[in-house]
Amino acid sequence: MGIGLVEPLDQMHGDNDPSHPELLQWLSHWFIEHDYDLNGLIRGIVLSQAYQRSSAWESAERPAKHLYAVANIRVLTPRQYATTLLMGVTSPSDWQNNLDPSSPRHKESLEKAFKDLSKVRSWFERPTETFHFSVEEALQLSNGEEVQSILFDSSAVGLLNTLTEERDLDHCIQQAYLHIYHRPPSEEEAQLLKSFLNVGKETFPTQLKSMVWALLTSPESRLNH
Amino acid sequence: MKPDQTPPGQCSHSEHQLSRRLFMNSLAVSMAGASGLIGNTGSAHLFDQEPMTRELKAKGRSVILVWLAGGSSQFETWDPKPGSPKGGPFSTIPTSIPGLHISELMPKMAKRMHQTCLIRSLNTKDSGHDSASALIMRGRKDEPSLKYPDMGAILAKELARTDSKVPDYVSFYSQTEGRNFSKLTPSFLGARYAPMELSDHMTPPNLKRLQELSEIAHLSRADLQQVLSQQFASQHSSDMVKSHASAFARAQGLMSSESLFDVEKEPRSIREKYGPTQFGKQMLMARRLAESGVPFIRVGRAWWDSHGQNFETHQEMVPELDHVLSTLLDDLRQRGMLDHTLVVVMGEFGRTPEINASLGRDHFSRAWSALMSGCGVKDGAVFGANRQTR
Repeated sequence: MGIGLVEPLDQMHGDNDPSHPELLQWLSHWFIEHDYDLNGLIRGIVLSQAYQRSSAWESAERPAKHLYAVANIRVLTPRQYATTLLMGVTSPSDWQNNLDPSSPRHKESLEKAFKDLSKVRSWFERPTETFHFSVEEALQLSNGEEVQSILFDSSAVGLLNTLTEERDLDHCIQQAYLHIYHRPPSEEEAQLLKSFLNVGKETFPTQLKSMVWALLTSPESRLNH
Repeated sequence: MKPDQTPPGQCSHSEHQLSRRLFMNSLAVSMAGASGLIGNTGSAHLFDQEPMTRELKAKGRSVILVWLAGGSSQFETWDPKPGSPKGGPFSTIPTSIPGLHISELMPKMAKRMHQTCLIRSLNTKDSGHDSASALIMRGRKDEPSLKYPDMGAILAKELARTDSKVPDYVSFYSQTEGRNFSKLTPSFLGARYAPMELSDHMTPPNLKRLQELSEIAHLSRADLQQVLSQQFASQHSSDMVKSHASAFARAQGLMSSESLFDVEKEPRSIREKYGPTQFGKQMLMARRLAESGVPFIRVGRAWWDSHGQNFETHQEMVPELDHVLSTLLDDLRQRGMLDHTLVVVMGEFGRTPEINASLGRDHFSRAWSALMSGCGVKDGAVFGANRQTR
């Protein structure tokens, strides 16, 4: 949930009151009564309404984190974001070609995936309590040669190819959104991207790549929300 | 690593002794433009005061820290003891301050001592490279569960303008020796205030736009990302989203400062003054960075750790320091930058009065020297005295 009933987590003592004393008390009793059933505790938490709240907040003032009134927005770990990026540039159609697990190609592709993952992870910092995005990360994602070679150049297949072959712009944008953000674009977003992509045949591949880059590097991909 | 060999209290003229805390405070005080070095020690929490910080920002103050990594010898630089049994082979020369002598290896600085403030009595009580570097850079000891940010990160946070198109904190360290001792850290201030570390290259990585993208394509891509971010922020406004946007905005700004890192952009006459050495080029770069508003620049020069052949090491390295430092001070003065740029010269400690069997001097933290100039520090002041030779 991104914030403890007691903060900082490791300073749980009489001088540091929990935000919700009754809840903490109740959870303690439940935990003891159920013979320290950790799985049960976690199940209870993740099934709670508080855990399942959306992080979207329309009104002006976002409620304080410790109230659990709205889900906290958190930074993805390097591994999570690396996975998001690598999955983001893979074409959905690639997942259907299930390779025979005993084939050498299967082994090769797995090895490459792990190599890429560990490389991409290294571009990012582990989030801490006082995390700020570094300018190095932004520069790396914007201008890094490795970003180009691993995410945007390497594969003959991949999302970019699938999108390039798409004749219908609306459908192309729809597919990119579903694949990267797991939601359809709003009308406004679809309009915006349509005008971004509608630039003539010659520059279309560049604009398409720029669109995928912008979707993947925007906070909607970078943050856990 | 040898422990300090001087018994406690040897150099204990308390009225002369400038403690580490006092020294760090005075650094803060001089940043604030107080005229005396030790005039205002009550201002330890100077930077807690918002209006003060705002005023400093408006004045565009900078610090250039010349970091003599490994610990240079105070005897072969600022505090020679000629004629004493352990004084070493070099003689002293008079300086522009009547009565003050420094090592003969520094003839150029000798002519400029009246423009500096010399402290000869630092007693920092830590003679390990790693822990002493951390202590000097952070100004205090870490606690078991809390690492403090270093002074570069603190000044970057306090002095950087939010709309700044230049880095807040740059650190040069080219030599491999000692590079991994006490990493610079913004600690709880966060990666926003981490140093841009330039070690193998003189220019920061990833500053150049991708070749395959035209300027227009690059900018329109950045614009699109910004619009997507704003849309996301409309429902998910949070510090994280703001920090993300500001990192990308700063990346754009930094890209436009690429030429800042190109010393070739300086007139030949200036480049020749600093000389052809890497240290010289980095000091020139430091001046360029300070001139364009970078609040904190550290130029590391390694490796002074002369456990053997102390005198040969200093004979080789001190004249370069003498030349490059005096060129920097002249350059800053001529440009009118010295009143808002503080130059600090120090390492993690000094070296022992004793000369060991390898003709080296070992680590020594109980009485060593540092030099400051600019930013309101009292010119021509010499603080502290010691009696290191027996």
